[in-house]
Amino acid sequence: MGYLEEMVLLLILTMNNEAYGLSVSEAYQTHTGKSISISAIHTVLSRLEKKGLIRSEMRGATEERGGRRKRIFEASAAGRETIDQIRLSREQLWSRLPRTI
Amino acid sequence: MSTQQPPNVPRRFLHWFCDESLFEEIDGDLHEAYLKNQKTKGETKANISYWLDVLRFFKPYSFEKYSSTKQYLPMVKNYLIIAIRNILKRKGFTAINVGGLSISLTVLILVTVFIRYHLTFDSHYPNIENVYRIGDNYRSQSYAPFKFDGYWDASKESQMRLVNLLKSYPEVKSAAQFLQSASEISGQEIYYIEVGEQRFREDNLVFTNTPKDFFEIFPQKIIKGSQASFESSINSILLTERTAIKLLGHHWESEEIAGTICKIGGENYAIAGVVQEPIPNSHFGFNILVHREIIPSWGAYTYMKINEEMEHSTVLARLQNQMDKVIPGYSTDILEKGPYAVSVEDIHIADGSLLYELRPVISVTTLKIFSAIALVILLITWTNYTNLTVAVYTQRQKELGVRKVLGARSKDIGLQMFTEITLIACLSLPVALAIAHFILPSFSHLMDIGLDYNALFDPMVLLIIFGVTLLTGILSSAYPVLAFGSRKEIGLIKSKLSFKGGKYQFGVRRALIGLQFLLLISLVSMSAYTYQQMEFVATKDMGFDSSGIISIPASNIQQHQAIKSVLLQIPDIEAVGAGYMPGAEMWNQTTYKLEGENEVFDDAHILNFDIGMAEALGWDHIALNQLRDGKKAVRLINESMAQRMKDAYGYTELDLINKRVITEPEYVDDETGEIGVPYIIDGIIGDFHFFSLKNKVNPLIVQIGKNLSWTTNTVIKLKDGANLAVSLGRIEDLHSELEPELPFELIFLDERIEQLYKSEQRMLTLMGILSTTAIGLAIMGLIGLVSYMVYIKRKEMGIRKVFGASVTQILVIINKEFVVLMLVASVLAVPIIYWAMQLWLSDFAYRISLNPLVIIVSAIISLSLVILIVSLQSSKAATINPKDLLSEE
Repeated sequence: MGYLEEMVLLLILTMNNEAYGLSVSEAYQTHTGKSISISAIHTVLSRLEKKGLIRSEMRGATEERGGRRKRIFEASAAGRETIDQIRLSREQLWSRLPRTI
Repeated sequence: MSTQQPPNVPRRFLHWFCDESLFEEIDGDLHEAYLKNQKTKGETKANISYWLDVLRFFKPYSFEKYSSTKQYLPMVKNYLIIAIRNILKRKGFTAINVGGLSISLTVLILVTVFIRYHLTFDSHYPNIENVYRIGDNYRSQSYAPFKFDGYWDASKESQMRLVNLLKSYPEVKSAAQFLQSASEISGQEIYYIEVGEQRFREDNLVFTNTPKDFFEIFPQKIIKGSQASFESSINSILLTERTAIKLLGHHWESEEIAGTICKIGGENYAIAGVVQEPIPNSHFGFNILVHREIIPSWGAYTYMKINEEMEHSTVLARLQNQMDKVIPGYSTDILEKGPYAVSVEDIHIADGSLLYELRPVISVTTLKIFSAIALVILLITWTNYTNLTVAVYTQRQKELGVRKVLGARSKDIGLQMFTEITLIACLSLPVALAIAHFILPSFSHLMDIGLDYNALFDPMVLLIIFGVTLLTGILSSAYPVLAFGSRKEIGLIKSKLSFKGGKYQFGVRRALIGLQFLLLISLVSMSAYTYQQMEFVATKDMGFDSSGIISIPASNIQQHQAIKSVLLQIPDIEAVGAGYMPGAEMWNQTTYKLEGENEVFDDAHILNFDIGMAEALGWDHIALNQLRDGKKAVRLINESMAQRMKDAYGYTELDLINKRVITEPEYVDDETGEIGVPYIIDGIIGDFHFFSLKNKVNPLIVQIGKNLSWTTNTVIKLKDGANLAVSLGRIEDLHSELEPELPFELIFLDERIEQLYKSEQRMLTLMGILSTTAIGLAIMGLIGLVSYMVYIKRKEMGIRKVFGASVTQILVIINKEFVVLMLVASVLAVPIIYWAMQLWLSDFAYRISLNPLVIIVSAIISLSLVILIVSLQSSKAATINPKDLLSEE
């Protein structure tokens, strides 16, 4: 899993039922300070879904979207597990670092 | 602040390229982003970033259907599997389609190969675009060869003048000249070649006195011996492979052949080597290449290769000014209209107006006609294939409906159909290539061209054929894709076999039937007209009797007289004479004017006969009696010339007799002051066709002498009912006894005249094959289409029957629709037929008038055919119990 995919997955976990294309791209921008296009986020999201790490559902049409629904993403069990494992392996590495700082 | 909508153009663009399943969420996201941007950054910036975002979505991700599962297998593979299953499942349908497509593809391959063969004439010589042939315009004719100063009597130096002058120009790289014995200029002369004790006949020698430059312009591949020794030694020859086998036997390769002496026409020549067989599609060719100091004729075919980026017109301009160096007095001779240059690339595809062209040329019109027929065949094939496919898919609507319910989009269904349809088309490609491979030799023989199997694998040909196959797939799937792909699931599942597509789809089918019918009528009537024209040419009175007339070569007039006196004693021989043998183009064009008048015409020919020849041709004219009474020569003019004089000055035929026609009035005799060469008119004879009916009869002066002063042939007329075998045997014996050095060759006049139409006959055969194929395919298509339309309408027939219609009434109603369609198609066909036939007929000087009855009859025949098919098909449905029809669901 690449850095971008990991970031997006983490963002989805934090966003709690409000994760869709535009909102994820905005969240990414606020967290990292780097800008990203909506189309890039869409690609990442679909890739994550094909890997089975997230799942999606169409809902929540609002006025400001011109009445169109959004694809809301949430992490799947596999997604949560993967992110836990990443965190675990990172922490193991961190723990081996000599505490000089 | 107003909440504005995002710009329309990029949004519509997004809608166009984006997959349906993705559009909503992307559109929504962008909409939302737009509104936010509008608030924070203003409208212009919001617009710009909207545009950019849309453009960023323009990538494969957006074209594909949204899927939350892994997609390792591309859909194309799936399409292929399904297509193969369907092809195997419907074996009959596949066989019919592959069969039909293979036939038309085969025809297309052959036509492509044929046209390509003609288009690539001479293209195998390197830098052929820089090679030009220099010819001479004399009077109003253009000669392909260039004459020598002094004609036959030119010395070897004066024969070289033109070539040397050309080579002195900086633009010219090389210049060469040659003479081909198999040509009109050499009278198709045949030579005896003696090798050791054996003697062979050889009909195509090329003589050149410039071998080095000849090879620079027309390189040949030497496979044995050396080119250098051929170039350096006079009286040496190069043989082609086939000639080497003929003269030296099959083991020539293992033998030391260089230096072997051959006798050609009594002179000694040394073999310098063997070259690869020349490629057949060249404007000249040879079996033996002869290096000789003097070219044995009055002129030669002269070529120059110019440096790249140079213009041939500059060379021509220089030449024009210096022609006196080649032929003294050229610039002051008013009959000389100056030299011209023709690119070698343009020699083969020409209108045939150059005199003494080396090999038969082909006109652009002929090539266009073949392309047009091939195109028509393609058109018919495409319509047929589309119709059959639509029929099959109508029966498969349920399957398509289920696919849609399971989530296939229009695009998926369309691609599926396209794959199946194209795959069947591609299946017929190898079949067509195999058939073409099989019949290519007979085709090549029939058309008298030298095509071999390599022609099939020419990359250009393969590319065209493959492109056409692919195009067949695309075109034939376009209609079913449009018709079925966009239909709603429910419509596909519910409507079993009925064609509810509405006016649009029925309109297309009508148009297709109409088109097929139009093509059918056009092809049938055009074939009929073509046949009529050829019949007309074959049976037109030529103005003389060609039966039983033969010609044999004579060395000179003394030999002719000797053989004549013996021949006349043979009881089966009616007459013996000498002179112009009909069936060859008449070369000696002359200018002329009537005595006492000023206007000079330039389109007459002068022919020379002796009285024996006139008798042989079966002419009886009072003026001939003057010869029998002791007059040396009489001059007759033909009706065309008499008519010309009548139109110009009002002279009747009687007025013209004993007047003088002055030929070549440009010349004034320095001593006597006499103008031109006068001929006193002794009589007027009817027009006769001495040459092809493609040419008009021109004004003619026939000079008939008691004896001629020279001749190259002896003309013999056999009595009706003469024993041909015996007489010919005696003539041959006599000839070999009296003319041992001259190969015996018989020319039958009627065969010779037939030869004039040989290329026409060939083209006709090919056209016949093509139109038969096209007509066959068109009828097949019509049968299929009509049967299918009747099949669709059978329920309507059932209902009509329930309401009391009789079988006849039903047949009339069903037929009515087709008849109207056919009438429209017939009317549309008329201008097409007229236009095409006029184009073809414009090549003939004597042509049939286009009888409209032919079109009417072909329309009636085609129409009856359709009514027959319709009635046969619908009577099945009309006669069975309507209950069975209506309960079918």
